[in-house]
Amino acid sequence: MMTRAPAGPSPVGNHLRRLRFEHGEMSQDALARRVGITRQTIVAIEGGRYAPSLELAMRLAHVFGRGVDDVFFWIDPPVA
Amino acid sequence: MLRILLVLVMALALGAGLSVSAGMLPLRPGWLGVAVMIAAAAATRRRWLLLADAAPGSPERALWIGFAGTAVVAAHLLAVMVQVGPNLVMHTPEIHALGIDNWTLVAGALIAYWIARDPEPRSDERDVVIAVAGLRAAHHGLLLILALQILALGFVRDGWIGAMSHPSIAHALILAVMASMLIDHGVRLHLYARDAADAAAA
Repeated sequence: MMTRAPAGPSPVGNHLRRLRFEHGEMSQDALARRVGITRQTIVAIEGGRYAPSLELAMRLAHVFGRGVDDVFFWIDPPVA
Repeated sequence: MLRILLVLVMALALGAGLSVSAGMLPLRPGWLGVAVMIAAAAATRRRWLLLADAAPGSPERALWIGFAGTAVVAAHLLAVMVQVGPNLVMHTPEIHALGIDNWTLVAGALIAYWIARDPEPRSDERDVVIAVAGLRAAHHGLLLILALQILALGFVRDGWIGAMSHPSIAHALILAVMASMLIDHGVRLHLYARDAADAAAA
C-alpha cells in the first residue's frame, strides 16, 4: 500500500469501523492508542481519505487478529 | 482556510503594531507582546480542553502556536526594518532596544508553545506525510523569495534596496527564512483543515 497525502479519496477501502464494533465497540481513540497513532489518522483511514503504510496496515489488522487482506481491499483494482 | 488567514492577519497586525507603538507605551512592546501571546495561548489551551475529542491533534496544535508566534516575530522584525530604514547599523542603543524587543517576542512565542502544547504529544506517519507537503511548499517558497532577493540586490541600484546595509540584508535573509516557516505551517494547517472538513462532510 502506498502512503499518500490526504488530498482526496484513497483507492484502498477498509472494514475498520465494522471490526471496531465487532470488538466490543472499540473507540477510535482506543484503536489509535493500541497501534501508536493519532485518533485523527484512524478517522482519515476509516473515511477513505488516507491509505496507511504496509506496516501500519499490518499493525491494525493484528489488533483484530486478521490478515491485511481481511481488513483492507482495493476499491477499484488497477489493471495489471 | 479562512481561520488560517485570520490568525495570520491578527498575528501580523500584533507584531507590526508592537513595533509602531514603541515609545508610546509605558512598557517595552516586547513585554506587551509576551503578555498577549501568553493570554492567547492560555485561552486556546482552554478551548482545546473543552473541545476534547474534537480538538486538533498534537502536531496541529504545535503548528497553530508556531504559526502565530512566527508571524508576530516576523511582522515585528519587518516593521522595525521599515522604521529604521535601509541603512541599519548594528550595536546602537536604539537597535539594541528593538532587538531585545524582538528576542523577547521569541521567548514569548516559546512560552506560548509550552502553555498550549499537547501534554501527551502523539504523531504518526500521516503527520509525516503532511509535514513533507508543507516542507516541499516551504522549500519552493524560500527559493522563490531568495531568487527575488538576489535579483533585487544584484540589479536594483537606486532607492531603498540599493541603499541596504549588510545588517539590513542579513535581516532580510532572516525574514526570508521566517516566511518559509510561515508557508510550511500554513500549508500543513490547510491540509489538516481540509481533512477535517472532508471528515465532517462524510
